[in-house]
Amino acid sequence: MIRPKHYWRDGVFMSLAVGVIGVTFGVFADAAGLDLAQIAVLSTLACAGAAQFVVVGVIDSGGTGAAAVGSALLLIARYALYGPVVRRFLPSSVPGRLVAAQFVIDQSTAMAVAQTNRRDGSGAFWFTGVTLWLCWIAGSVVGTALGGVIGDPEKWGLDAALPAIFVALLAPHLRSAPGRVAALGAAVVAVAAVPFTAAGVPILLSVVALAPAALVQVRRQQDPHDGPTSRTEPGPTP
Amino acid sequence: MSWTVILVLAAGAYGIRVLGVTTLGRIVEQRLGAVVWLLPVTLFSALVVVMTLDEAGELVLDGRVAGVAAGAVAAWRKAPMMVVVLVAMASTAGLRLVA
Repeated sequence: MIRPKHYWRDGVFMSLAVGVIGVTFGVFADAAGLDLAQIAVLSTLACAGAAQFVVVGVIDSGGTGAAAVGSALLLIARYALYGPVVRRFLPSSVPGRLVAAQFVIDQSTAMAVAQTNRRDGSGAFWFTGVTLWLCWIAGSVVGTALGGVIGDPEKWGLDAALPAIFVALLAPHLRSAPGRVAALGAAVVAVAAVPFTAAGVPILLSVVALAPAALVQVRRQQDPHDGPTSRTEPGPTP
Repeated sequence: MSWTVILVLAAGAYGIRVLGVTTLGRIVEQRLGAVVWLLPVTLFSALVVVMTLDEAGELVLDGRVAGVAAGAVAAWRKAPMMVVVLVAMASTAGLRLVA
């Protein structure tokens, strides 16, 4: 029997919000001279939010292709760090993993990790990943067609939507001490790094906050043989 | 923009993702063990900071801060995601309307 899952609501809402941001990407890329086919292919294959704004922005401001791709890949690099987190929720076959890889993104990772068992984690990953991907593509195409019809999206506070989504995704993890240490440490590192490093680098550097957070988690485990305090069940080791 | 740039970026993005769910992912997963769930916590926290304060490589306090702060209060009070995001957008938009 098919019942609505609790991750459906957040998954659909995030996808719609990302779709609206996709519209602004379409408008932006259209203004920068990309044609519809290029915008659609870029959103379909790369599906990489901020990195797509960066690649188009760098080219539009006269940068080289290498600089544009390099800057964008720095923003995309963090997806490699979501892999270890979502692996346990993915199919064990190689073709299955190669398909799943396309849907590894911030939101699908967050929704998978938030589930309490492997089956729901897997469902949340695929549902969020595919829905968000489709909405991002659709939004980009609609934005291209609209061109400059919509006004300044910042007037509607759209630039606060994405960080607010991450605040909502982060909130449950702040109820544990290791989660708070990880989040606070990462925020401090990111603030310190922003003025001195290229876009994307502060996010990658923030993983050093894992060390103190892991220390806190290990110390709080009374008995080391008591099993992990992970929020998700340990997946099968492939 | 040239197709080469688009296709190289697409290939790079997919390669990075594949790396994460295969070899690199396996090594990191094994190394981190029970603390692997903290990895997205650090990345999301850094993303919030960057998306709220970063303006072309400089730290800036603008309407986004008010929105994200309001959203954080809503999230702390266990509001659903939709409420968190709408509160944030409304706060940022409202501040810009007044300013």
